[in-house]
Amino acid sequence: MKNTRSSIASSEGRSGGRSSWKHSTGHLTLHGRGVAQLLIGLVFILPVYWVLVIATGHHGDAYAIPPVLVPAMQFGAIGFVLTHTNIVHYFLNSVFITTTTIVLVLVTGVLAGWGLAAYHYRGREALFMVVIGVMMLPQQALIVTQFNVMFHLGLLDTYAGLILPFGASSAAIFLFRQAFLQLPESFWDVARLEGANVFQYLWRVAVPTARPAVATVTLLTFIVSWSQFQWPLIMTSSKAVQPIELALSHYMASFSNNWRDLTSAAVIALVPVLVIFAFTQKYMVKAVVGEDRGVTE
Amino acid sequence: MVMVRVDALTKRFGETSALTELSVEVADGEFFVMVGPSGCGKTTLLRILAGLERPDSGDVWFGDRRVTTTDPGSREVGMVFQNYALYPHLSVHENLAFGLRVRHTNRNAVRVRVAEVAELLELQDYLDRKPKQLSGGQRQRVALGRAIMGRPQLLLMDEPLSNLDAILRERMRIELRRFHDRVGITTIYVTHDQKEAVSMADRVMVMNNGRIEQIGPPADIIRHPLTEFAARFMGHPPMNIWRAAMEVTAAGVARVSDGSGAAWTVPGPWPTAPGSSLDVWLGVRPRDVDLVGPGEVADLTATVEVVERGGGDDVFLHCRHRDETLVISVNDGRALPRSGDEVRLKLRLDRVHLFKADTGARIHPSTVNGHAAATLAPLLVGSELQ
Amino acid sequence: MVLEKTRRRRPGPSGTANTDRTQQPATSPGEPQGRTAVLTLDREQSWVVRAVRPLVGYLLVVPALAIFVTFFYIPAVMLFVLAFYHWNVFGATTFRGLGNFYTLFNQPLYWQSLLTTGYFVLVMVPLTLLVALGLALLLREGVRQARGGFARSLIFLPHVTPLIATSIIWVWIFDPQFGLANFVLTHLGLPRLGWLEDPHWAMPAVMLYTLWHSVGLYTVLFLGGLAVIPQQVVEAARVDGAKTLTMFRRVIWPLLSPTTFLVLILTTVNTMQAFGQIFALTGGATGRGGGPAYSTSTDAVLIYQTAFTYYHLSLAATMSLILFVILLVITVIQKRLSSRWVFYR
Repeated sequence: MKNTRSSIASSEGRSGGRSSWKHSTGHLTLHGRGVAQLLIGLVFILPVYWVLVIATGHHGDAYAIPPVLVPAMQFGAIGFVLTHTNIVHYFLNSVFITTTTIVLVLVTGVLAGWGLAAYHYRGREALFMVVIGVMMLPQQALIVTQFNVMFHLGLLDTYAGLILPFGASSAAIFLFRQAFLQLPESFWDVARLEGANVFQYLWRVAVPTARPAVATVTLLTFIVSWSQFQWPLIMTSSKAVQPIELALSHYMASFSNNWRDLTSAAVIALVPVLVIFAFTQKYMVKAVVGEDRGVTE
Repeated sequence: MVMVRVDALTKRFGETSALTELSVEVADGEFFVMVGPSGCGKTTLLRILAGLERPDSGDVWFGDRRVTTTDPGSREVGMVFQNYALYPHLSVHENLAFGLRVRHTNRNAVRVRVAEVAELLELQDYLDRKPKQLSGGQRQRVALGRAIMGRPQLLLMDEPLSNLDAILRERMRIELRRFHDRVGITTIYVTHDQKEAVSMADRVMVMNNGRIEQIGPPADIIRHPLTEFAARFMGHPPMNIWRAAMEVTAAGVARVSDGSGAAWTVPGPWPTAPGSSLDVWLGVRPRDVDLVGPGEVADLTATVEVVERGGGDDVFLHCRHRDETLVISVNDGRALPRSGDEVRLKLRLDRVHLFKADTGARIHPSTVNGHAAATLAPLLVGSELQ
Repeated sequence: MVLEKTRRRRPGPSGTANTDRTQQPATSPGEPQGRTAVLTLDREQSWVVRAVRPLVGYLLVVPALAIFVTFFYIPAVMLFVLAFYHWNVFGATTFRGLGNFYTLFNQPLYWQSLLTTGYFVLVMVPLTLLVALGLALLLREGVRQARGGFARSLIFLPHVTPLIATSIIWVWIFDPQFGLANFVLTHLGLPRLGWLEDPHWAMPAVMLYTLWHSVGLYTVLFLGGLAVIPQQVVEAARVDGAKTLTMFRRVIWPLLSPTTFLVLILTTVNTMQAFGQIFALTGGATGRGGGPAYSTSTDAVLIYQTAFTYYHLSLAATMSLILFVILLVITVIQKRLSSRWVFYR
């Protein structure tokens, strides 16, 4: 992870690189490579770009041959979807579910991370393995019996049913535990001498110094929670609690081939992800990659 | 401020005992330094005083208040840590205010107190900085400031200077001592550096293996070390100590020889019967060894290995005497031997120390002046010499 | 776990359980009798404190633990029971022994789904590996500079987009009449394809989407692996006159093997569990998933259909158990092997 991190860190904002390839002798090949990199990047971004082109295009742009390349920037379709469907409701559902999940994951993560870092008790290592072991359980193989459990707990078709099961994360606990283990012991000594109790220490010292972990956990949980699809597909049937990804799949059935309205709905679901990605791309890359490595090591 | 008393304190960590039946008293307003090698128990004792560790048995008293089981937060002690332990996400101001904040002190009172402490330690210009933006000396002052924010009765310092460079360390020694004299707070200070102990302390406690070797003003300990360990540990350069054998003659004087042919007659009084003999450590400080000229009587001959200049008038000769290296302090300005030269040495017999080889307890001089004698007595209890 | 720094700590926080026992009776401190009495009390108290502190540590883990147990471990255990029963959520259960397995193995659709899964995995794993490695090698030089980092971000972005939101545009791309895919094909002089509507081409279309969506993650993993390789090693090989291809085979590839192995496992596990994109691309319109003639019904999709379209929970649980065991075995093998392989980090 260190290496990924360092390569990510070194890639930030060093536009100074430009001058170095101006002076370099092999500047043609380097230049070619730079162009190739950008082209490949554009190919990957193209589908996302096309969502925008068609959503903000003229009626019938989706059927144009050759394909339209420039967005017309007409927001009529997006306005229509916002006013004539329940998408705002679904969007707010997703906002609510995502925010609540993030808060829960942070709280359970901090508490459990602290409980696994700061105290000595019999079975602590075993408990940690149980916590980490969740990451090894294959989700697709559990969905049937999870449905059974959800049914018996009366959680089907409720917000709680969409939030609670994801209210704790092994990755979050792992990250917080790591962060807390790295705090010098004297930090805690000082807090005791100053008369702070454990929770004051956690809130005022341990968590603030673990800010990178908080950011990572927030980003990871946002991505996972905002993209939730299969779980609500199975665990909900009423539109009251469903998130936006599920709404999109409803629209795929009911607006089939009405590409402008469909992509407009997709834009609404994508905007939060794109905006957050734009501002936090390097942290997000680091967070997601770090988690995937963590899972397997 | 407060007088501190520790009574028969014992602390073990698993199988190893950190402190064994340790008792000591620190006077009100005293600057008391605990010194010893790492692992000698001095930091454990400090942490017990702070309340960060519980003793297994024994008691801690602050004045007539028994605090053995009191929470650290209720003891009215301030502590400075070796790594300063400043919270990196808080500014100097917030670090200072931390304790008052968690105690829900009103905001105005906090601001006033921070300003007071900042002025006392000349931190006014740094209040908005984060610890990362401060130099080592400034961090040290912030840590000290935080320790006194709550007007503690007792100030504890755990090797507070060991993270500083040499020049700053010398300056901070003076500054800390001056701070103590101005504020008058009872201060207990832990270090492994005997120089710090000597230059700052009212009294020093030399510790080894969880036990007290000697307590007293630094000059007393250097002049009259009660144990071989204290003799080796305190003073710079360290005392020359090597093995010898001693025999009390019928005349009541002791004959000491180190097997190299050198022998000394040390006047008594000796508490043992004539004819008894004993293995001893023979100790003499570098400045108590004289170079003697060819015509005079010498005790030893040795070969000069290194001539070390101490900076001022002091010159130290490191000489080889059999397997031992003896350090001799001489004055510059006369004809000095060079490395490889043979030198003839004479010990000042009135300044020679003898310690028992097995226990390290002092044998000679047996009568010492002033309060060192009082602490000497119990050490000799049960020894063969009595 | 290499990344874990084990630190020896002194006993942790004392919690808030300490009660102040400073109040000293009026006896003078020197009286041995009073002191002994207090001392005994101390011992008892500190014993209690010692017993309470660990409990606090344990209690802090309980909220997370309760969630994991209720929603993950209990369902996992239930799998091993319910796979052998005929049951539904209302609780009517009859023990069937291996009956569910017998029924399942007589379903041609089940075998077809295993074949489909195998096809998906066997194409996706090498394809992802090659493309990710290629992209990483291409990005490697520039990644220290802004433009390389930018390109990497663009390649990574699809991975964090929600599956359904981006599937919508890919359904359009794969539209047989107006889609971009066929537009490109005809310009290359190739015949148009039915893509998602064609049983033969639905799976390749899903694969293309999956590659687009996930390859950025693996590219960044490879970039991390490449960054570990010391520049001196590469330069030393250059000085020795190694050609690019030889250098790759002899120097880069062996040093990259831990990352390659990691990517191999991750793609296998993730591909076997793919669901959202298959559902959206090949059945979003019908709300059923699985593609024309069940051509994209992988094991995971078939479990969903069996359980939640046909409400045959018993068979679905049996299929889940088999998938569970397969994936767990892969994960365990990976764990054991990677502990020997890991020298990154």
